[in-house]
Amino acid sequence: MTKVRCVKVCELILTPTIAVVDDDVSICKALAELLEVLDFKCQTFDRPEKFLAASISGRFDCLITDLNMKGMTGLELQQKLSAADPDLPIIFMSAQSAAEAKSQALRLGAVAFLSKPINDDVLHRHIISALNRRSRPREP
Amino acid sequence: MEPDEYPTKGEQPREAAAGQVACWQFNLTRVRALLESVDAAPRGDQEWQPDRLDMLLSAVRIVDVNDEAIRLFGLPADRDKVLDRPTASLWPEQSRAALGDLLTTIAASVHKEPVTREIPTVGRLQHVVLTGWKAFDSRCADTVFVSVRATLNTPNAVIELEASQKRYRNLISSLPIPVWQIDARPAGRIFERLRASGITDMAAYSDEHPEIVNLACEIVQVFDVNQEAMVLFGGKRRSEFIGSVKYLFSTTPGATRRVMLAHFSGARNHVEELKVKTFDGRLLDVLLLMTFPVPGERLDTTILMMIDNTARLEAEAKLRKIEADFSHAARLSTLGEMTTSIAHEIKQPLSAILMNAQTSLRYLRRAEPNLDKVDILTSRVVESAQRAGDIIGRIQDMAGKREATSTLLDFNDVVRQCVVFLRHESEDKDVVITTKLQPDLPAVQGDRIQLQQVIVNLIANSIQAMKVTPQMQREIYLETQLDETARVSFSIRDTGIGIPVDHLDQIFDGFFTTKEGGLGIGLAICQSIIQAHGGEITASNHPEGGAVFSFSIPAKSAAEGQLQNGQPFGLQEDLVPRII
Ligand SMILES: Nc1ncnc2c1ncn2[C@@H]1O[C@H](COP(=O)(O)OP(=O)(O)OP(=O)(O)O)[C@@H](O)[C@H]1O
Ligand SMILES: [Mg+2]
Repeated sequence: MTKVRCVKVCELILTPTIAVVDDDVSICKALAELLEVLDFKCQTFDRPEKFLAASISGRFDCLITDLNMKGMTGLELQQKLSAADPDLPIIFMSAQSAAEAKSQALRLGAVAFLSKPINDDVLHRHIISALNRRSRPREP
Repeated sequence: MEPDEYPTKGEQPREAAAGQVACWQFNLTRVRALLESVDAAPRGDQEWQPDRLDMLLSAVRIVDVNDEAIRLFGLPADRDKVLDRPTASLWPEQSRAALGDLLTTIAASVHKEPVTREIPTVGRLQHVVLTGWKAFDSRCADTVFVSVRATLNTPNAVIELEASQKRYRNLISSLPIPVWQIDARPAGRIFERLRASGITDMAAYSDEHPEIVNLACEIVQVFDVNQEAMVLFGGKRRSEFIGSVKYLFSTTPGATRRVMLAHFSGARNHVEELKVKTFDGRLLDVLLLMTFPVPGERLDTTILMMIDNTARLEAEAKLRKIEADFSHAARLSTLGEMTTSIAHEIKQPLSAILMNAQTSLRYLRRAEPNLDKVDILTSRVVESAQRAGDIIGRIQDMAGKREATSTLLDFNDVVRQCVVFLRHESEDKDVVITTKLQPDLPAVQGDRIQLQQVIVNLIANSIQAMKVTPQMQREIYLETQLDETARVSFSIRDTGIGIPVDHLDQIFDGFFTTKEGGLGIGLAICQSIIQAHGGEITASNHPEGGAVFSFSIPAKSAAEGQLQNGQPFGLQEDLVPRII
C-alpha cells in the first residue's frame, strides 16, 4: 500500500511523459491540449514510424495510439513495441467499432481500447491506471 | 414536242373532273400524216378497217388522264403506265371506233367546237357520251381533250357502289381510333406541276420556297372526322373540324413540311410523333399516321389517324423516375459498403471537437480561467466542425437524391477526390492506388457527383476483384489523359482476376454479377452516366493480367473551359441545365 502511494507521488512529481500517435493532426493537437490541462507532459507523432524512431525504452511512460493509420496499424505498433519496450502501457483509440482488433489488443496487454469520440474523464482514469501499471512490477 | 411541254392552262382534264367526269388528254402529232391521207377515216356509215383503226390509236398518245378516268376505265394505278402510252393499249375495245371517229373529226375540223359521240354500252358503262374538243391555245394544235360521261350499267352496281361507300364510311366512323379524312388532291396537283417543270428534290425546293409549305397546308382540307377524333380534340361540332388541316399542325410546325415531302415522294404512309393542341387547350403527344392514296384508290381521300401517346409518355416518365430511384438505391449500396470508412471519417473531427471542448471547460473551470487557451481551443473546435460538415455534405451528395447538374470540372480533381474518399477502404484491403494524372487537362462539362460515382464504382470493383491476389501485389493504376480526339480519358487497371472473355459483353448489362451479394448494377450505372456525358466506357483485360476499364468524355476547348473555382467537395449545385 504505502509503496504504491509513494511511487504515485513520485511519478506525479516527475511529471510523466505521454506519447500520442495519430495520423490525424487535429486529434494530436487536441490530445496534447487535453493532456496539458491534465498536467501531463506530452509528445505527439503523426506517423507510427516517427514514434518508433524516437522511442527508447523508458523515455515515455504511456502511449496513446490510434488503431487505423497509414503505413502501420496500432496493432502492428503494439507488436513491434512488445520487443522494443515491453513495459510501455498502451491505450488504443479507434473510430471504428473493431471488436476483433479490440480483443486482440487487450489480449496482448493493452490498458484500454477506447472508441472515438473519447470522454476526457474516462481517458484520465485510464492514463492513471496505465501509469500505475508501469510503476508496478509485472505480474508473473 | 413532248406531251409534257404543252401548256395546259385552263384546260386540264383534272379540272373537268369536278363533276366526276372522266377526262382524257391526247396528243395527235404522230397521226397528222395518217389523218391527212385521203381515206384516213371511213365515210358515212362505212366500217373502220381494223388495222387502220389500230394504227391510228397506236399513234395517238395519252398525255394525261384524271382520277375519274383511271377509276372508270380501270386504268393502271401507276400514272407512269398511262402517260405517253399509245391509246390503243388502254382504250376499251368496244368504243375504239367511236374514239377513232371522234378524233378524226376533230382533227379535220377547223373549228374548236366540241364534237360528241354516243355509245350505248362500254363494259360496265351505259349511255356513254364522248365529248372531244381541240385545245383552245393554237400553239398546241395537236392536243385534244375527250371527256366521258356515263352511268353505271346496272342499278345493282349503283347500289353496290353506294353500299360499299356506306360501309367504308361506317368503318371509318366506327374505328376506335381518331380518324380525319382529308382531300390532299390540291397539293397533289401542285406537286404534279412542279414535277412537270423538272423539280425532283422537293426538300431543296421547299427550302427555297418555304411558302409552298403554308400553301399546301392551306389548301389541303379535312372533309370528315369520326367520333373518336372529336373526342380526342375535345370538339363539339363536326364543323369545327372541317377545313384546312392547319389546326392539326399548329403546335409542331416542322411536321407540315415532313408530311408534304412524304406526299411528294409518293410514299404510301407517313408516321411521326406530334404535339397537338386540342380545341379545349390540352397539349397532347400523339403518333400521327397518314396514308396517302395511290392511283386506283379513291384519290380524294387521304386518311390521317392519331394515336394518343400522352399516357405512354407519362408511363415512360414514371419509368425514368424509377430508374433514377434505382440509381439512388445503387448509390446507397455502394455507400453501404463504405459505411466503415464514412464512420471513421466523421468520428475523427468529432473526437477532436469533443476533446477540445472538454479541455476548454477544464480551463474555464479553473480558479483563474485561461482564456487564451480557450480561445485557441474554440477556434480548433470551429475548424473541426467545418471539416465534419464537409464530410457529411459529401456523403449527402453521394447518397442524396439529386438531379444531375452540369458544371465545368477539373477532371483530375474529381479523380483525386475519389481516391481520398476511398483511402480507408483501399488501405483496409491492402490495395495500393497509383495515379498518373496528365497535368493541364482541359475542363470537362459534367456532373461531379455522377463522375465520382463512376470512378468510385470502378475502384470498388477493382478492389473486389483483387480479393484473391497476394497482398503485396494488389495494385490499382489510375490514369488521366487527353486522347487523340481531344477527349479527356480515364483508365483504371487492376491486378485482380480479370474478366473472362465470354463475360466481356455482358458485364455492362444490368444485374449481371459474378459476386455473391452483388447486385450487378455498378457497371450498368457507370455506362449510363458516361453515355449521358457524351462518352463511352469499355472493358478489357491487361496482357499482364487484371482488368482495364476506360472511358472518355468530351473536353471543353481552352476558350470554353474557364474553370470555375470548385469547392473542395463539389457542393456547388448550380442551376445549370441538367445533362440527363
Ligand atoms: N475490375 C474487374 N475485374 C474483374 N471483373 C470485373 C471487374 N469489374 C467488374 N467485373 C465483373 O463485372 C461484373 C459486373 O460488375 P458490376 O459492378 O456491374 O456489378 P457487381 O459489382 O457484381 O455488383 P454491384 O456493383 O451491384 O455491387 C462483376 O460481377 C464482375 O464479374
Ligand atoms: Mg460493382
